[in-house]
Amino acid sequence: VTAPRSGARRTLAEFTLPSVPGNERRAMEEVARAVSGLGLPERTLERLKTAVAEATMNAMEHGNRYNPEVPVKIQAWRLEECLLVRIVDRGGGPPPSPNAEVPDLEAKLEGAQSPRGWGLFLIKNMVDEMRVSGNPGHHTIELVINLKREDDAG
Amino acid sequence: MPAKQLEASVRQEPGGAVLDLRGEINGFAPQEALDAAYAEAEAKDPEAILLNFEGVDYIDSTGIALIVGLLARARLEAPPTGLPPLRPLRRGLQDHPPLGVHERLPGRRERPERGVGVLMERAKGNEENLPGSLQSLRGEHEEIQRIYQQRRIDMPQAQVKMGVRKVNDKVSVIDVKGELTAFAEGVLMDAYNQASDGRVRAIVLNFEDLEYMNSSGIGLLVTLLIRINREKQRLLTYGLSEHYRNIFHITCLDDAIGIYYSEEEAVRAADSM
Repeated sequence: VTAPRSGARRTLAEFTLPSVPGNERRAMEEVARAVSGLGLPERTLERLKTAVAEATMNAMEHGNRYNPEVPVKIQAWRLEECLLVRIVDRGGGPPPSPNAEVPDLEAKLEGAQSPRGWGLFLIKNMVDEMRVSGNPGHHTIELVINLKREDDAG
Repeated sequence: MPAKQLEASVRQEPGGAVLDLRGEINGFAPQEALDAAYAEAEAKDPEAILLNFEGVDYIDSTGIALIVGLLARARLEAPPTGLPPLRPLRRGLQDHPPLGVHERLPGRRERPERGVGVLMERAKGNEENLPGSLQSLRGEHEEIQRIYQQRRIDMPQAQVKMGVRKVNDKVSVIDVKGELTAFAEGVLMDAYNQASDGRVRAIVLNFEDLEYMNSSGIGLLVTLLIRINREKQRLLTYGLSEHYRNIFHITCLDDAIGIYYSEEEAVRAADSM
């Protein structure tokens, strides 16, 4: 994962949340508030909110195992041409695989896949880029929204 | 065809009690029936309790939680202490004809922590001298209990309300108000049970007051769809925001669920099926 070291970066948010069910909504609202000055189109903002909520939920559930004493860290930066949101948990196992089995509704309805397992798929489809990484003490997921394209779009 | 509700019965076998499960273990499974059967098995004071899943057609995440609840109860009442109790029961079941679980385990290495989902040990006697494992397992058990209790306290209630309206003999509407997340499972399934009695052929979900839906909520809708397909019913919705319509499209839910802008439109479509 590339750390945002560019001189053009601007920190929009940096906060932690305890790993408590339901806190993904707090994360989503907090990030939405932090990026409000960027003038994102409503559609993009809704997509970002869903991606942040899902990534935070994954971090709390799979990384921190909903231990309220272990926080999830959330940071957001405005870079030159993109918005970067980073969500870090303290999970020890392998990070979630961005190439995990793609959910298939037909297979789910036939019982060949679990009805669940939509989280990463949703995140990938909500943002322009998703990066996942991990080391023995952390999992990191980065969400990238391309601002240049949004500007072009209007 | 209606879903098969969970049935549980108990019988005594050499080395332990067998809890025979039949039907579906899901959000509709009557926990009291499972608890009563477990209590009956426990009353026989067995070395181990074997869960026989051979007659089980379907288990969902709520069903897994029910089974984990039994496991927690077994551990609470007799913390796992080692593997000796498993062996006599398995030997005792060697000649028992219809135990699918046993048939899938021939020659498997004895690993008590793996086996507890199927065989719940209830160790008796003095195992204080078992080499090494007792203290550490007890410590782990206490830690799990502590976290479990803490999480039970922290677990939020479902932030959702659902009302059911019968539009006509064939169509029911479920008005969803609030959040569709994992915590809504019980509320949604209760609403569906209420909505689908009699001759109802179509269920319409009204999402006009939906505030938030996450991936767990999508999973719930898939679970509901599985039930509805099995009952040869149809699922329709109206009132979805543009964002959630987009999510339904990405997930292909819009192939399986009829999406409409208004109740009138949805009911008309349901009536014409």
